[in-house]
Amino acid sequence: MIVTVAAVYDRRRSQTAATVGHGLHMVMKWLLLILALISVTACHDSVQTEQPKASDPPDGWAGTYAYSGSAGETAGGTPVAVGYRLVLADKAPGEGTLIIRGYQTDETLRCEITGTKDKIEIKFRSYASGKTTNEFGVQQHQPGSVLFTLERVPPGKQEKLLTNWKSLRPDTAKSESGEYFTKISGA
Amino acid sequence: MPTLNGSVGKGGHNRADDARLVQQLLNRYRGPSATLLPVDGVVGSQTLLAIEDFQHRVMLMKKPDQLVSPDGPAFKALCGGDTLVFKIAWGSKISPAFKQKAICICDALQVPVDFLMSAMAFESGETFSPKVTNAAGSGAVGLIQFMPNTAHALGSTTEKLAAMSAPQQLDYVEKYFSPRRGKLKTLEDVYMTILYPAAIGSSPAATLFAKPGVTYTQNVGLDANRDGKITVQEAAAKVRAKFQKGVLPGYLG
Repeated sequence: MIVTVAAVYDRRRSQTAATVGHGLHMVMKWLLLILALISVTACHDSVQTEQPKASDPPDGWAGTYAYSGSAGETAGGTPVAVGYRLVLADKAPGEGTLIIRGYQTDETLRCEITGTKDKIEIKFRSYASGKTTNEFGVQQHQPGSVLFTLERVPPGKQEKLLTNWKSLRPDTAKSESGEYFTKISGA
Repeated sequence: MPTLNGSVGKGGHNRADDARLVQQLLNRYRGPSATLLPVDGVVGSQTLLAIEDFQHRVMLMKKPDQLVSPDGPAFKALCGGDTLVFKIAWGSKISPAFKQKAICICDALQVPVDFLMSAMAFESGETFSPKVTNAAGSGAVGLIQFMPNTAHALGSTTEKLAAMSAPQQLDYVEKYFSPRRGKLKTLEDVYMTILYPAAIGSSPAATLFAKPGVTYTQNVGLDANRDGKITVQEAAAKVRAKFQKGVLPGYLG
């Protein structure tokens, strides 16, 4: 920023050198440098004093979570079963992948993960292709919409993992909220 | 009517469209224990041997030439003696409008029409009804038993789909299959598009679900030999049975 301000000033100085005295130039240059330094210091202070927000990448959720549900059979006798696998990598906090496979389904969704150590929101970002429309060209989820939440209740050693379905509601899920996902691997 | 533009087989022109037609017709004469030909438009040793087997076993030719020509006896025999009407599996159980549309969408999708008809026969309990559901209430409806989430993914609902005529609902069957256009060459592939799309292109011997596992438990009814493994071929066995039934006299039409 200082370099940029100084460079701009230097260009202007060359254009006006014929009409303005050297002393005045020096004063203006110092004034600009002081202003730039104040601006940088203010930015630095604001970063340091910023408090953690609920939308920061949550800690302690890395791992793989799975839910597999069944909805009975079709008229012909095909079992209707769909599996959901949520992968939250330690190396990419705030990001997740939801893989849905089973009856009439083969989708991979890129997700944004926000929340706290006790509760996270899994938000739709895009499909694996990078598109926000599905393979049939239909927009089922808006980017940023909450697909579901995972909550540790009550937090502690005996905690259970509660799923609250939002814009994603599996046909196999009988209620809007309940114990669906379980952690199958990870820290 | 079935149109063969060039010869298929040993020394033939072997155009892909013609080869697909011949492969599809040959499959109607494969025994229940024989492996169905992939309908891929490629004339390889499997197709040549299938032509030879047909000429030998069905046409009773003493010296099979492994060639099917547009005006030759093998093509006429493959068409059941009638080259003026294109008959399809389960064709006598559906309306002419349904049949015509099924042929059109299968052409567009490059899906063998007999395979799709067999899958729909299985899923709809042989009714080909757009309204049919499972009595136990899975929520699935219609020709390929669209689940509510599938209907939503296609931009519709199961209620709207159930209110359509069967030919109208075929538009949604086409839409559902369209991302896999040109990739479905076997009966197993067509059925996997419904049961478990991630397995499309897998070998028939590939294991889909194995014990112990939730998915195995959920699909245990497909484990015909109860060996703790459900292969692609095993999962598709009931659809294969519908195929065999659908090409019998009284069903083919």
